[in-house]
Amino acid sequence: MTHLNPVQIERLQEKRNRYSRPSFILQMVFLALLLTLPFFFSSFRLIDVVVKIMIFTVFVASYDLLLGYGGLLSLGHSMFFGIGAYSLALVIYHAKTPVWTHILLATGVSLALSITMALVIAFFSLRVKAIFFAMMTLALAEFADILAIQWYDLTRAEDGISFGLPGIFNVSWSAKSILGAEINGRMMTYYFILIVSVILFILMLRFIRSPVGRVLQAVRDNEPRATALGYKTFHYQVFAIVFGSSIASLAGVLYAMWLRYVNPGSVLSTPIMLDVLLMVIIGGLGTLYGSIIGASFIKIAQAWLPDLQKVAQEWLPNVVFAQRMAERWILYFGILFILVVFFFPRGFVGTARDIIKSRKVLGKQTEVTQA
Amino acid sequence: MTWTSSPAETVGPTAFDLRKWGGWILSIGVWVLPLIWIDPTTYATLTIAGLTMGVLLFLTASGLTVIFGLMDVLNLAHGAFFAWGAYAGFSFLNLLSRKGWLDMASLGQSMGNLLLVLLLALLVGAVLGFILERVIIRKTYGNHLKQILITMGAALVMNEIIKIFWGPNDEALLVPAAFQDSWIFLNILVTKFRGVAILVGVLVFIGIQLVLQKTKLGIIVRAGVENKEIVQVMGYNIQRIFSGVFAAGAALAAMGGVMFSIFNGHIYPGMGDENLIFALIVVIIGGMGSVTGSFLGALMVGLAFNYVAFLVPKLALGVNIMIMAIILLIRPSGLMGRN
Amino acid sequence: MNEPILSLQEVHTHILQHHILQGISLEIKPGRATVLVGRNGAGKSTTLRTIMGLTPATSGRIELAGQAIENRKPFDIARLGIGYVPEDNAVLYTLTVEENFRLAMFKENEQGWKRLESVFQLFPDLKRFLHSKAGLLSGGQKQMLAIALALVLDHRLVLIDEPSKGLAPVVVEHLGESLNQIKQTTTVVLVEQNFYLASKVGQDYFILDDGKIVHQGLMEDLAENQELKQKYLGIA
Repeated sequence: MTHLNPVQIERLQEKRNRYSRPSFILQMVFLALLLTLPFFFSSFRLIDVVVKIMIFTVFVASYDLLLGYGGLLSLGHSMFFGIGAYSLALVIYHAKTPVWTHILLATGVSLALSITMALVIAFFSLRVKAIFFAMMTLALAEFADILAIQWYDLTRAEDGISFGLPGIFNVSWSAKSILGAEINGRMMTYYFILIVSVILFILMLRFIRSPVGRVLQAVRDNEPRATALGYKTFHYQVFAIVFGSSIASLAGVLYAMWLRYVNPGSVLSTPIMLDVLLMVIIGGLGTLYGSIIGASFIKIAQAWLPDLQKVAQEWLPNVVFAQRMAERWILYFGILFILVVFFFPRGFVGTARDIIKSRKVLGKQTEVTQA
Repeated sequence: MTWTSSPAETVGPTAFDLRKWGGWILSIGVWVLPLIWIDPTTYATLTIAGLTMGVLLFLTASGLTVIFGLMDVLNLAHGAFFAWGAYAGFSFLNLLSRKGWLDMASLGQSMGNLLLVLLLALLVGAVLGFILERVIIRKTYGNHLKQILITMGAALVMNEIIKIFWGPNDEALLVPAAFQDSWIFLNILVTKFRGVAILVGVLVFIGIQLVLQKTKLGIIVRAGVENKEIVQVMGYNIQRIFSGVFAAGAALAAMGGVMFSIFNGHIYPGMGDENLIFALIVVIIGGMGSVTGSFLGALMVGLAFNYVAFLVPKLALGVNIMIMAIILLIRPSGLMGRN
Repeated sequence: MNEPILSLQEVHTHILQHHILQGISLEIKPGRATVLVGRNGAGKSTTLRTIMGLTPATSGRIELAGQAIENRKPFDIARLGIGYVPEDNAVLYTLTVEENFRLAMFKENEQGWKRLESVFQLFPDLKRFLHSKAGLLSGGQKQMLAIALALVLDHRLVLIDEPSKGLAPVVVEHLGESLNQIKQTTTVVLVEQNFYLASKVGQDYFILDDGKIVHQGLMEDLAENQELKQKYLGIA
């Protein structure tokens, strides 16, 4: 038996405790809830929100890889989401009679496109200054948005593209009902999205704990030092951009599958980028799990905040200004965003972890004093 | 004492340095190349349209680039100032119209009206800029991530407030009557407002250059772009200069908003963000922090857009990104940027 | 004995999590040239930067002629009459020499231009290059300009950080003569690694080590004291 260093010992212990930690149990309960959800609730609105939360969790987590773990501020992440969504929509739309291989093809196309774009962006903008990356990605994303709006022949612009999914994912497909719940195309799509989302999320968790992910964080914290240690920091950053962008485009594919419709406003525009920024900041940068909180918070708010409008109409039927105030609920997101950045910069998960950590330190101190 | 020359300068005259000259070749090429495909009259019309668009872009880009150079702030709320200027101008023009001032046909009176509107826009921009810098941006100096997020949030809030006050839809703008006429030189039709816009843009450029090169304030600002610490230990309150420059940049953007909306004849809440993207491309092309670079970049973008829109309409939107990519390939820090 | 023009009492400074100055106390006598010497990283430059408010003190008291300045902003401290020549990038490369002077003059008036004439007597080279960009000057000229910039105002006290850095011995010699003239009219605090220059210009000295003052006295004594020099300055 060879000698183990302290790091290896800790990792072994971590592995042993893996299945008994409270966070693992929490994860399992969570997963079980998601798996059984369609059997308990038939409300479309609820399922719709849950699916959007799952997809945006993946999307936001992929953004967190870049910003939180890589320190790379991209303002064009929504472009990759859009690439994924449009890949699926266009492939299936042009396929006329889609079969399941078309989904595979679309995934391949979206990955190829997003990897190419990510490489181009990284090559052009990482060479100069970090802030260039933000500017370039913003300009390119906006350009992609304009392109989708203007290039009617390809994208049908604001009209968007509606399409039907193949096989068991098609809305018209249905099978016997089990336990009172109807097994239909929607439900199959739900499970497909659930499984893929979980796989992608686990993939990202593995990534940040992998040697590459750890070097990436070292580059974020102190680039000159990482360079001095002999790491080609540029390569790691490029890898992070390509990896994060690919996952974002896969999230886009899933999103298009769920909506069965794409247009620039729903998958490509700046408001989506703003949503993602808000989600990642609220959840906490560099936490990955924060994306669940952030996505849930925003998606739930988006689903129910528009009701505010109705309230305003009922209560103040004659005050146009008040109705307009209620109509502009995005305004409150903006204000919330500024407040969070100022006063809550570590986000929900980050702050929670800080509190737990300080408790643990306190606990250890009391142990010492008692001993 | 002798002048020492660095090794780079000792390259013989035969060696052609693409990095040094490529940007210039491209910026001249943009003007000359289209002549191959376009007949002179159309070329002249397109050039005037391109120049108009260019100088209007410059109004927004100039503030963006100076704020970046001096304060190291990438101000993504700059487009919101642009939109606020446009909407303030819209309301003011409506007011003038109700008094019957806009129907007056003489160009001189229209210019007078324009001047009033521009002054109002400058004021609106300056006040908004001053408040934003004081309340929000001042607390984030030195933290790029925070700045970008905060200015983005501020832009969102400001745009939403526009929608609350003026509604979310497109609005047609009342343009002073005399601006809609045209001059005709040698068969070339020039809408009067285009001439006025080019004049205003060039005057603003010259004004900024004069202030930067000839006045004490200009020296302080240029010094601040290079080294903020020295400026402080020489007794200058750099905070106050930051506020002033930020307000001035915002005012210019607001003015650009008015000019642009008169040029287009209509306004909409998203106009600020769209213009910001163009301005960002211009600033990247010109080199961040350089006013002259922005001016050249803005003209390039304006001209290229118009020529290409005439020749290959489909490519028009991509051409700016293409110029940006080419410039970044040969000069990563932009036309006039310092490394 | 007259009052000190500048005094530091138990000044601590942190940069991020690093504790750089660990309780510096010193007094600068008016009309004399004081040198701060010590190893790399001893905290000499940080002492000057803390006095100027560029890296504000976390605790302690700094007084300029009896007036507390530790909570003031750099521009305010400069206006109270302290000139400062930083270690690197002490001149503005993209500005002409003339513009550098105009900037340094703060309020451009008759008196300022008159003082500038006397500065030119000290550094005649600079007058010749008045209209060239400061970035094109040689290393020695840049250093001259940097010091000249601190002299165009009638400062009570001038802090100079390592003027000899990167200069050829003959230029250092010239610099020493200039500094010796300057100390006739102003109080000078000099941070210097080059012991030759330090001993040529300095009258009082403080030795810093690990963010503390470990020794102080008259320069002529230090020049004789081989043991001290070996221990703290690494000079045999």
